[in-house]
Amino acid sequence: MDEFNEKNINETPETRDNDIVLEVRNLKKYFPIKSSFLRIVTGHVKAVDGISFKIKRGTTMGLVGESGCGKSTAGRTILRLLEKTDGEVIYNNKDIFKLSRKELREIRPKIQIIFQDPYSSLSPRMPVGEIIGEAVKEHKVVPPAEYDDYISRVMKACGLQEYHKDRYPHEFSGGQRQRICIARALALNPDFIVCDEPVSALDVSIQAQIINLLRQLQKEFNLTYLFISHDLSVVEHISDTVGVMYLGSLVEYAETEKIFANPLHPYTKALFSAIPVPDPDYKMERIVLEGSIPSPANPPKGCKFHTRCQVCKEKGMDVCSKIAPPYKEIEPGHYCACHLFDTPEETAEFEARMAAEAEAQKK
Amino acid sequence: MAEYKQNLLNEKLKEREAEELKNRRDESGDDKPLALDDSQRIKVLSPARLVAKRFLKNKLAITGSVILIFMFVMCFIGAAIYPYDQTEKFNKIDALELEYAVSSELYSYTKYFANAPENDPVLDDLKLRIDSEVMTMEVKKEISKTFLRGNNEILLEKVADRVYKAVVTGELKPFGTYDPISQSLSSDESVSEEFLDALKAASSAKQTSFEFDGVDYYLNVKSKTNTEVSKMNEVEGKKKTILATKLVFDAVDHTAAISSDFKVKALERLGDLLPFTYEGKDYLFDPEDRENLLLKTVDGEPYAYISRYSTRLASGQDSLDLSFKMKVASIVDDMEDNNLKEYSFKYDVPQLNPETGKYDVDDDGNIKLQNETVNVIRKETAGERRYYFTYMMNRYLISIYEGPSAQHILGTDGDGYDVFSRILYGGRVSLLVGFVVVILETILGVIMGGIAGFFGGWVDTLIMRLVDIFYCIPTMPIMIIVASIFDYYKLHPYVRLLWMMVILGILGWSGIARLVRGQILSLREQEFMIAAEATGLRTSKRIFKHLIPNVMPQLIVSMTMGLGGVILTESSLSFLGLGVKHPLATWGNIINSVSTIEAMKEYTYIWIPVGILICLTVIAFNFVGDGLRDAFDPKMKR
Repeated sequence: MDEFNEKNINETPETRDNDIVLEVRNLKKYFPIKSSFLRIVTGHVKAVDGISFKIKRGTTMGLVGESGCGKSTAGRTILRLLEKTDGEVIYNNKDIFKLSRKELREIRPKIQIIFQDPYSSLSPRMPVGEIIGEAVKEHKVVPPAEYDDYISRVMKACGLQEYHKDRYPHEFSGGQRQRICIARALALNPDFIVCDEPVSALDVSIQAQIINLLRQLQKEFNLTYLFISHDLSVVEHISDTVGVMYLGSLVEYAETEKIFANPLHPYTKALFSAIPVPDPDYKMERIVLEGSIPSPANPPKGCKFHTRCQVCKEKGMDVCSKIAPPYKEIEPGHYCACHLFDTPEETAEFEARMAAEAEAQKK
Repeated sequence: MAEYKQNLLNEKLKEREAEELKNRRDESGDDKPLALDDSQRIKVLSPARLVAKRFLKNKLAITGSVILIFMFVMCFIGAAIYPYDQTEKFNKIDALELEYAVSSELYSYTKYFANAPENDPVLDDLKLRIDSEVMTMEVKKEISKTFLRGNNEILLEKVADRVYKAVVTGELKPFGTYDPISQSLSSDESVSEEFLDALKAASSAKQTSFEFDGVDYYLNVKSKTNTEVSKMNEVEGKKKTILATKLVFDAVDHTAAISSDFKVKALERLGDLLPFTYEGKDYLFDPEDRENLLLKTVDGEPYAYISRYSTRLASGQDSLDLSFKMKVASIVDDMEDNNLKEYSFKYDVPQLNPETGKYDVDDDGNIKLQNETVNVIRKETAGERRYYFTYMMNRYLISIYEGPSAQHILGTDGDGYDVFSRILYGGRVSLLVGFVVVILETILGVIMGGIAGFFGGWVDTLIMRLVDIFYCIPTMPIMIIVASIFDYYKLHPYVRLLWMMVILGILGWSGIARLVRGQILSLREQEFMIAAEATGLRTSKRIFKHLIPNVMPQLIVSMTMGLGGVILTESSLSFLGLGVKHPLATWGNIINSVSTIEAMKEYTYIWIPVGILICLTVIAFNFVGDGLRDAFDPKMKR
């Protein structure tokens, strides 16, 4: 198993230089809030509020953040399982949201998803072989003659036995079910898989199996993952790049080593400080955030994090509560949205804007 | 293979497999896979067999299936084998106490005309008057009286008991006009002074008539100065006569008719019972049988009886044998005398042959007689007494409400149909209706509910409001209206059955639609549906391969329960006479045939078996439904 734990497996020059599989530009997903009686839209839950990133072929991007920050919504919106509110998702130079239903259906096998809950994501009345093979038949992934062998091979590759085919999902354990989910995604020969917290419902030993399976498959079949999780150690283990989300926005994005070694955003710092260290003598310096996550229906003005940001409080930065920080590249390949990294010109500009707004309010 | 894109994954997987195989060969020298072989593995059944196995383990479900199979075999094969048809009427010959003859006195006078042409206006007019005149005479016990009828003088005499004779004796003719003031008479005839004096006296005394010289004169005051005087002229020669009688002539030869003139002659002589002559023959009243007034010819041959009683066959025909009539007369006399209401006697009476509907005849052409007990019952209606003579007669009958026997396992019903045969045929209809209606309901319900649940939004709202409307429609009033429309168009029972199934289906789909929609709404949000969408399956496949199988158990339960329900509905509709029409049998209208409390008490062998069959079928459907639901549910451990 050791070979799978190597991190740099895909970071060969070739893969690095490979084209970008998926690019997300300023993606927004708002859910309307309707009044109970007249069904009038009274507001929006801004679940995903303008995120942008790129994923290279054969790499894994981790997407972390606390519960309710919009990770899963982002994952599903990228696959157009939910209709976007704004923005673009470019897969292989095609905007997924501009495809017709038929084109979308044709592209579906290439972009797959593995769900968090392996219990509800498998149809209870279908034998496993059929669950895995149904879409294979539908999209004619393999010729009919090879169909049976193909399903067996895919199942074997995912650590399932051939004779599991005729069994029903309820006959399997959680880990096996997740393997079935993975097999279902893999059988369609995808380029890109959104792993929506695939291990959070499983116990730790199974988590490791599944993570290793995913890595192994990635290595063998050059898959690209968007790995959504709130388990930072898992993300650190599997990801090449990591994006940190807070209240629908991406606050920091960088390669895994960089971001873990040097988190820039105060939220990232607070988040990473919670990673347990397997050393009883180690004294953890935990940054404890006060308060809870604000409502995504009514996010705070300016920097969304400023209500809970200790740095902001300590430094008494006024700009945080007024103007949203720009999401920009601080170091090469390291993006962050925080006023701590404002350039002097930006600071001046923001101050001018704040002054103008104050003026306008006075009047 | 052009349509299949090159699958790198497959190639890689194949390579890996080959490599593994090679490694294994290198290590162990054989190419057996490392997995367990079939004998060591847990046997896994195919989904269908798994369902079957689970179903077969369920004792209740098996019971239900056995009952249903039994029902089907019985109704579909049994009905074909069973010798009787559902509308085959059964008959039997049975003795029935029937009215044979009726005897009574005459309550009005029969009138015979003599010495007058037919439709004589004088007699026709007189005929209407006689009854009341006779009545007053009877009351006053008068023997004779004279009265004026129109311009005629009538002499009414009592000839004998119940025989009266009215004779036109005179006719009024105008004589002249008399002026009481001037005391002058103008007349065509010359009159004597005595006559004038008599007239004056009568006029001044305001008499309406006076007698002069043995002749009656009548006065009619027209005005003060004008009084009409008419003279009664005696009729000369044969006088017009009416004979009114309550007696009845019975000829000895009951086929011979007795002429009206003969009757007049005989009746005229009833007073003195003297011989008379009719058409050259002399007749006399038998001196030895005065009681029965036997008329004989001079040769001693009996000709006719005159009787107080009119005795006829119950049908009204007068073809009874004279001896029977005489017997009846004596018995009725006896009963009258002793004021008896009931009586019975033995007598030789004819028997109808039930096969032919006629009397049996012996070789000589005479009707065969059998000695039977004849019962006499006196009945009084509107003051008229009648005596009914009844005895047990063999009749060809429809065998209704016969108890169970070897020939009819469950007896016969009120129409003489074999109950068991009707149960078999009725079962066919009931089961057929159940299945067709439920299938129709399910098809409609799944389509509508599926569309509503899957697409949601305004489609859902629209369909659900439609469902609400269909829920509000009351089945019974609709069926009553529809039934009357059917009646109006006089549809053939089978066509009617078909329409009824369609209407029940249309009225019943809403429940299933609601169920399916609810299920689909909850299933639609399940992750496996999102996963199915993510794998790019077609909408139709998503509905039919992912949604419908998950709705299936509930659907099957509701279908089987619905089957029972529909059978019940059909039964109750037919019971109310709204569904399948007689003579086509269904379980409902078999029970309907004994719908009164008396019938229910009396004919338990008709409705109890049908009731049990309905109950059994409904229960069996429910058992099978439960069994199927459990079998379909892979989570069930049993």
